[in-house]
Amino acid sequence: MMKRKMLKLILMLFVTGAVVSFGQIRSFVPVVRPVYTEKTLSFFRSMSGSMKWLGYDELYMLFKSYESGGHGSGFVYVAADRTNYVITNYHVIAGAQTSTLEFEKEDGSKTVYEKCPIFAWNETLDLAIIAFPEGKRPFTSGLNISTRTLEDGMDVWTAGFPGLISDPVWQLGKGNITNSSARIAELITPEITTLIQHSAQVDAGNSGGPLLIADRTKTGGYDMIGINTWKVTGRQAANVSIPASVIRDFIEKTRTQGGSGTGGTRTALESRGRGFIMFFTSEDRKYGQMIDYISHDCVLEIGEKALTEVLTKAPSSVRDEIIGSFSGFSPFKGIRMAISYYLLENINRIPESRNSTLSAVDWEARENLPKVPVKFVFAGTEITSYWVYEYDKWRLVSFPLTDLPRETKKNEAGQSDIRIERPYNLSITAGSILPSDSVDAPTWIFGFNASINDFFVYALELGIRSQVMTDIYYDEATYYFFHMNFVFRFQVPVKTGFLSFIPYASVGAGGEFSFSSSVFNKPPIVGMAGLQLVLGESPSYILGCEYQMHLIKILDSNRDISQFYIYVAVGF
Amino acid sequence: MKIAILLIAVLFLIGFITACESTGDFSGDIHKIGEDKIILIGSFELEPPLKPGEQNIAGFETGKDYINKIIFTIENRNIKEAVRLANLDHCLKFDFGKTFYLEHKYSEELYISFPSVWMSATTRNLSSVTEVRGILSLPGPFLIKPPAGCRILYFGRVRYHRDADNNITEVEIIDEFDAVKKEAEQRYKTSIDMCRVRLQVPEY
Repeated sequence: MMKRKMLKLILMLFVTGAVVSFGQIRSFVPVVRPVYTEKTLSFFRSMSGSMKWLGYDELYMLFKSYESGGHGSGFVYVAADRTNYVITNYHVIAGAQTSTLEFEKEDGSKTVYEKCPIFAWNETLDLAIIAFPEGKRPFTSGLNISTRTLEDGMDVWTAGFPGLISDPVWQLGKGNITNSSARIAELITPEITTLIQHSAQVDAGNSGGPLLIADRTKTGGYDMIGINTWKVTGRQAANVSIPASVIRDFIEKTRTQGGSGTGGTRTALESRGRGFIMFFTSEDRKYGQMIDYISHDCVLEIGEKALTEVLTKAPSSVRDEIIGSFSGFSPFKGIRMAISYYLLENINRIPESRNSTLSAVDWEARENLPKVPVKFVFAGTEITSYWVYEYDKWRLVSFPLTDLPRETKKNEAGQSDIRIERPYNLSITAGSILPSDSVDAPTWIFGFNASINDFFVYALELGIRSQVMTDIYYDEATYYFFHMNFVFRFQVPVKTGFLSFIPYASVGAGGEFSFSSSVFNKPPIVGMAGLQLVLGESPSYILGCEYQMHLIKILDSNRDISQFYIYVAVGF
Repeated sequence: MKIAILLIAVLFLIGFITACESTGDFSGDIHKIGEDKIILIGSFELEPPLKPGEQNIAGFETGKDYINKIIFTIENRNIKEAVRLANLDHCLKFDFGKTFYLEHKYSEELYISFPSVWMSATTRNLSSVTEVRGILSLPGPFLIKPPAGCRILYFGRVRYHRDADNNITEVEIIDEFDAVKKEAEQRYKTSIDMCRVRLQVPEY
């Protein structure tokens, strides 16, 4: 699927020279319109808004067109039991809940069938079968699925309703088979070993329409030899169809099974889970290999975030590849690629992500949930993902990225997330020295701290303290001291996300001067050790605690200092 | 009289030119960009590049600072006017071909406006000193809408292709995201959460 990025998908129709045949064949080729749920339409609206904001006009237009409903073509097939179906490409109805079929007559009148259930689909084959509502059988016969041997040069026609301006318009194109058994490496799969390359006209909107050979003995005057699916960009008239044999096998197989969407066994889920985890444990994991695991619900849940992440932050080659994957396909493929890249990028950040295993499938929970919990162990941490059976495969609905183990996350430059880095350059501090044996009244201190670099800080502390003292006449009096201290600090800031811890040791010198007398107190050199808890950056909110003690008494001091200082601060 | 008018015109032109800031690359801590700031990363170039002597401004003292440089302004609204002196009174100038790292105030919409090159210091119409003929106006403006959560924005390399008459024939925007991110991480010695932004053409 990945390799199909180089190809643009189209739908085609052909015009025959026979007027009678022309009229007849149109009756068997409807416009196929996917009908999306409101949640899907809301997703398209949100996506178009995001793409507009980001300046990706081509994606904006794409999602905008899906908001108003895209369309493809198809053709009528009537089974042996006379059940009526319309065959189309899977990508025409991808993500749709039901579809609308519009049959147009030559006079412009239309017969419309709404709420047509999607009976079967196969993403790998890019085929889908649509049933008529309530088992209606308006056709007694449909196009014949040819078994004839094709040869290069045969005349072929393409039929369908490509968009002209914005509306689907009937178109029949004529050309030749240019390679009846094309082996295009990017397109062939184990199920589709050869394709039909031809030159009949195809345009956007032809997807799902039939490739035909004129045969007046068959219904509508044509034999259906293929379904128009791709157009090679950059080449003139190099169009590619899925051969009739693949379509016939698909129809027979799915009718035998009773359609798609049923089944989904526990064994199949366990197998898918193991495949998923093997992908992460492989040496050569590439995001494109994972898109098969992404469900439609997952697209709706994280598609916008994943695509935005890719467009803004992914390497250029990844971004270009994912943008290219939108071209000509349904938008879901590109989004699933974006989600795959987004998941893989997140999982790549897990230490020892290759040491991961499938833990358990909680099959019993399926009774109560529309999705089944599947547990994995990533590097020793168990996480629960949810899976749903969709388009014939178990697919991932949600994967809790936030639960992934993170340990000490390394950034791309190999730097630890626990960093030595000061969270602020300048702070204004207010605090108090707590009363103790050596301090009989709180000292209120205001200060300024300025960092020189991450490790060194200069500080100026200014404070006021009151103290009751006895003078020489034994009279008690209250003295107010003005406190001033110059501090030089060594610190080791440790930054962990939004929170920082700053242990430090300081040395300060200063003294106290009384306002009301000539008391000159405490002029020692003081040693301090403290710890700051810092929240945020610019501004930073700081809570600190510091132990202070005299190192050297220079002048007379009336007591030793051994005290605690607590403070709050705002840093910038 | 004509000489006087010419002198006034030239002085006026020089006056505008000296108003352009020689903004250096952001040199602070890339993880501590102000709350209301963004870092804009990208480059402009002319193809073919300016040849020595092609800008006839070296004779003026201030003109030397404008050799091989692009001039533009960054606005938070779309000024729907042709380039004129009043619109360039807070212009920035950067070397052609060199990636710059510009710190700028955040806005939901940023317009790189009036991209231009000072080609000559003469005025063609001597009776109108306000009409600067020596400016080669480049296609613009470009609109940048910072994505949610993105502060470091890379817009690419804008390559103006020109013909022999200095008509701009094509504007090419080249995405060198990987290389520039690596360069930025080496410059700032840390990992950088850089976002790619698409230059948009403002709607009128």
